[in-house]
Amino acid sequence: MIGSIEEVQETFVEQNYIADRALATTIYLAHHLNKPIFLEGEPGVGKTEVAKVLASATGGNLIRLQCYEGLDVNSALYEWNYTKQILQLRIDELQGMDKEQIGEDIFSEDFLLKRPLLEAIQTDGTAPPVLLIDEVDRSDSEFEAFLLEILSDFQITIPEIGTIRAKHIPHVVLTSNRTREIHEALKRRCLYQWIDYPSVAKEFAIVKAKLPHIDDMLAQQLCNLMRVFREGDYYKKPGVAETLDWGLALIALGKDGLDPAIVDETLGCIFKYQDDIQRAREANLHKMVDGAKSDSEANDVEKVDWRYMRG
Amino acid sequence: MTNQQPLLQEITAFCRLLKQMGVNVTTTNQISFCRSVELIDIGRQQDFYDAAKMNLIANESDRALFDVTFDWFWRYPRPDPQELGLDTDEEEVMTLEDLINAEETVVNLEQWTEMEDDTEEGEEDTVAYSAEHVLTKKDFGQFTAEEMQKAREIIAKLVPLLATKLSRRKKTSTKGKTIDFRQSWRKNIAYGGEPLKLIRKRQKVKKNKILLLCDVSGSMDYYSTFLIQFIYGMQQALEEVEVAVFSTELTNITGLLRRKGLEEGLSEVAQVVPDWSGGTRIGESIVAFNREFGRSFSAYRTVVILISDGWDRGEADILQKGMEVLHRQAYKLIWLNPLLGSEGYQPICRGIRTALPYVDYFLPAHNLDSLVQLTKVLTPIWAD
Repeated sequence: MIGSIEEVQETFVEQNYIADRALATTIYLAHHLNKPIFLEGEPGVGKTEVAKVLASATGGNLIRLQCYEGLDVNSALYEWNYTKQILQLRIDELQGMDKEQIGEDIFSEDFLLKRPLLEAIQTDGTAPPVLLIDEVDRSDSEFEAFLLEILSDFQITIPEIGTIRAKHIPHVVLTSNRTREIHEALKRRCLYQWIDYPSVAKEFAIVKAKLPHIDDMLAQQLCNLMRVFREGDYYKKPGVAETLDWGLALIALGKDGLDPAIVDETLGCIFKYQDDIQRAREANLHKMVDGAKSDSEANDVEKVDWRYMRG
Repeated sequence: MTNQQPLLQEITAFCRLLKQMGVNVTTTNQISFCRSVELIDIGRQQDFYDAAKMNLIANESDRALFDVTFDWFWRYPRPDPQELGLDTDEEEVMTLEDLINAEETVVNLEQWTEMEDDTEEGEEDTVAYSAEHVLTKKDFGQFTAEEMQKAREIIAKLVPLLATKLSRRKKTSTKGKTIDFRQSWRKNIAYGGEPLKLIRKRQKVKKNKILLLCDVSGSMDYYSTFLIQFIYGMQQALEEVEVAVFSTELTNITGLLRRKGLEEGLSEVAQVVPDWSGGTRIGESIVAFNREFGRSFSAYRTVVILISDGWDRGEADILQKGMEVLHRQAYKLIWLNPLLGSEGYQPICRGIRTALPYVDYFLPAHNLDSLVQLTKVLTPIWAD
């Protein structure tokens, strides 16, 4: 599936993910160079989705590590199953086992709780797994340093067991929403790709791929209006995820075109802050909706099937 | 293989050029780029560009610089290697920067003082001049170049002391809530494996972060420089620090300082920041600040330190709105005002009056003493 850049793009389209050529190139090169991919961009532009699609396209397991404040090695790598160990000791005792033998095997793999990173390294199966390290900007810098180590040699040493080497080098995808700057050392280990908001044409293709039942005209108006919203001065600009939510909502309401009233009622799908909703209302919805409509009539050319836009 | 040699050389030259432009390209990146080139069809310019970009830069903020450099190097007729300054001395590097329209005005600390001398005379609110010429009490604005150097040395010495104080307070004051099984298990081996004693993990509730928002308009630039140096020096205790400067527009200089180091970074800031030492638009800058850093507020316990004298040319209600949002999102909001050091100073200028209701601490920042005082305020904030 990763034989050429075109193949990557094609496979992703089959999975309903519209990847532009730069992203496809990143995935292609990451595979052949065995390097992690570092995706940065605004929330809701489809960073996490890349890993999911990559997993289902390659047939590898998707292993997800969601980062959070205070994430430590025990919850990322492995932990001993203490309760099970204690129970085992009790059973050994009750069975009248020799003192020397009691507890001999409690530090074996049976008593190991595998956390995502260990799992990614140990996975069997024919295809390499996809390890998604999501929102790495939420973890702390100690964890970043630890990641650096793992991502450079893909092996883990457990003192009681020994060193475990990866059977397949996993495809690694890191994502960041940029709530803080990630240390350059980590980013420089990866292929860096910034994912921007999609162009109107691309977003249209995404909407059509994800919501096949949507009316063409409505989809076009939706994407036009989204562009207008993103150009505005909002605290949290709507991402592609919001476009899709909104599209779903409009389909559910049985709409085949936009009008100011319906936009007003469904603003909650697009903006998640009261201030933003307020600002959108103040910004003359009528004019914006009219603009989006007339654009969609003028720009029929934009409705290009993404499948044929390779090259 | 032989016909690949020139390309390899050119890639090396290009990477070196990027480094000179201030992008931190590592050898590993360069090797990885070379390997990428073997995998793609280099006849396709777009693919070549994408491969170069994803391997060689690690920040979206570097992209503009990368694009200019890329265009200049690859898209126009081959430049003379002599011109590139590759086997190299400094002057030739400068000719390159000229080409890319980089401004050449290197403003250093001493020049800032001189500029200050010109502008300050007209204003009524001159800053108090301490009778004793003790350096710690003396206003930064009054420093000679020599004293400036001395003050910076003092700050460099002061910072580790204050920093350890901050971090020590933090260690002893946190109590753990979750059980550390690994340690508990170990400790209880002594009791035959019965879990008699539970060891608890210290868990940080939320990580602290400092956002510095520095006014570098004409009246403020060197006060800000001292503050940046001071806070930046304390980074090891402060965990996360980000710095933005503004006069009429906001510029985030965290990356620049991180890449170039404090010394070099600060001297370069003046070139990067538009309208350095110009007028002030606090309101607009705070709004921009909220937008730029807003997302990080929820992930951190954020202390915002704003240094400005409050002279504002912008609209008052924009300032008010900006301060309101900032106040709501920040854990603590500290306003440092160098003018507070002057005798009989009253916060009457409009900017300050608008902003004051939203500020948790209003402190002076005109001499070394006041910087020490700032640490005293920060310590309890850090410890809880």
